[in-house]
Amino acid sequence: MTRLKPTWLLLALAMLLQWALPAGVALHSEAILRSGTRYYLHTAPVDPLDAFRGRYVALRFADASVRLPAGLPWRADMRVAVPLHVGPDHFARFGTPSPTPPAQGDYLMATLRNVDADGVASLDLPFDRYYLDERAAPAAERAYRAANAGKTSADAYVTIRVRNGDAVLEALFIDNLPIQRYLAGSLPH
Amino acid sequence: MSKQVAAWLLSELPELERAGVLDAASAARLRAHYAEAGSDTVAPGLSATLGALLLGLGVILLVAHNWDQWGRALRLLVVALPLAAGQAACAWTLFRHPDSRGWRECSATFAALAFAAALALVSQIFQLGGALDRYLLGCALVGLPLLYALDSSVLAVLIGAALLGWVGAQDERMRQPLLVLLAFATLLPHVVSVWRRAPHSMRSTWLIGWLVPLVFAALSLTMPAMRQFAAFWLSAWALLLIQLDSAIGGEASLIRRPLRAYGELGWALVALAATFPDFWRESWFGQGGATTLWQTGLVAILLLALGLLCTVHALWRRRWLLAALSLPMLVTASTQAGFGAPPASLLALLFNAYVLAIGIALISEGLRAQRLRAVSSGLTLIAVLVLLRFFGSEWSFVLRGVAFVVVGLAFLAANLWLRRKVRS
Repeated sequence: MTRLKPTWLLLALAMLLQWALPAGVALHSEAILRSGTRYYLHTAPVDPLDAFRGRYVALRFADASVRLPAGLPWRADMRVAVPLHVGPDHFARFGTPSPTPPAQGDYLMATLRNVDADGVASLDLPFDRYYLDERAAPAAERAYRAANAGKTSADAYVTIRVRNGDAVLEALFIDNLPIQRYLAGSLPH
Repeated sequence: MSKQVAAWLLSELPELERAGVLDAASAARLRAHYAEAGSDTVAPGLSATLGALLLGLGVILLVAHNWDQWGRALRLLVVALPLAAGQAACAWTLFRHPDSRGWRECSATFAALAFAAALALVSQIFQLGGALDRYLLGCALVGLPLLYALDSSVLAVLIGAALLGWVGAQDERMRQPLLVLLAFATLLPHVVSVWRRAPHSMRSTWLIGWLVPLVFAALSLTMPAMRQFAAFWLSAWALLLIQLDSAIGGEASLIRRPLRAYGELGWALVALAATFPDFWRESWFGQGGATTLWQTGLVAILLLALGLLCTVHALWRRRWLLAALSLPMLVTASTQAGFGAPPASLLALLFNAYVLAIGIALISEGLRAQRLRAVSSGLTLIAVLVLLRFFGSEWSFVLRGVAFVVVGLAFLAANLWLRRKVRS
């Protein structure tokens, strides 16, 4: 039994780590969803296939390119704090990024994907996909492509919850309906 | 030792202990040694591990369906079930089947896959983007204590593959050779332990046979600057593997010596390619990026120093053939260091003579030591060299055809004669 002790200790460590990581992610995300501030963001989804995580709608944000203030050493892959401002249409817009969080107001921590010569950067946001039931994802894609092609007057946006710079995607809406409800009528039962 | 004899010896151990012929520690060592050797059959372990792998992957796919109609809490519970089952299997293995390799490999593999699935699916449930490189690194690092708790070589290879995936998924600018070396070094105690318990066993051969190319691929990915020094990089690796094998290899067949097999393959590729003048004129793999230059330089210098040390050691022990195998590394290092254009034709001529000399030396050593493998290796090397020269020359088809036939017949006759001589 004495000989087995390190083995059992290692197993206990492995078990602890195996629970701590997913549980930590789940608890942190749940807390943001419960108590974070809600924002609305316009999107443009497409539908790739991810072997690890089932099907999802990949999200792109029209306003995810921002002008950087001059005088700072901006570079790609840099982590920045991006303030969120709500416009008159109730949708959020990204403010001017800074290396440190703003003193007031909500912000997102994002990464600069690239910085062009004019000082305009595209942002890598912490949410870039919305997972759906594998049967629903292709239908969601078709619905949004139709909307984008002008065949319908549908609008697409997401709601996110933000707290202390962390953000969690809450829901995807098409034509002011949660995607699941929007698709409920179009999917065969 | 056959399995029956090993089983008989194991059954005798309690009696030998009682009679005071063996103490408890020696009996335990014998048990561990022959349990390892006795488990050197592939089929049961392989089928069990494949079963665990398929089961784990099946569970991932089932949960990845993303049952939208279920609430988050229910989905999290479903995600947690395979992980709990995997962990229970690990605990059961240590408690009830600590000596069963099949149980250890299966439970560790399943628990590691269940964890990977849980982490990915929690991200799915909370709509988190996440980065593949960090995910794979997380899976690899969390798998480490499980690997050492269950002593699972399948998990070691899975972790090696996850580390390679981590490097591959990283942005090229973020790859750090020293960090990759450190990450793979975490698997080294397991490899050494398996090798010490049962050198040349199917398990150690399989483990090393997988890990060496994984490390090589991961390190090559981290050093884009090394692409233009590919010949040096490959020949230095080949030399190190051959030298390492000669230090620990023993007399097992080549199939049970993956270090030697990879080393000889790498050496032959560079040495034979170097017999063409164009090899010295062109940069085959293009220019690499300029990132992590100091780390790349450090790794290259470390490799060169190790290679030189091994060569000096071989010379000191008067193992001339072994020492001579370092020539491709030394010449490629000096010509690729950027001291002007190398004399291509002269170097190609030198390497033709060199490969021929190594072939003859192998045949001679094989005859002296009565080892048919060395003789065959020497003959094969010379045959490939001759073939390359025929393909690379401007001779007519008729002349090449006649030359092929003559050389082929000569080799068949030589092989027949040598077989008789060695066997007699």
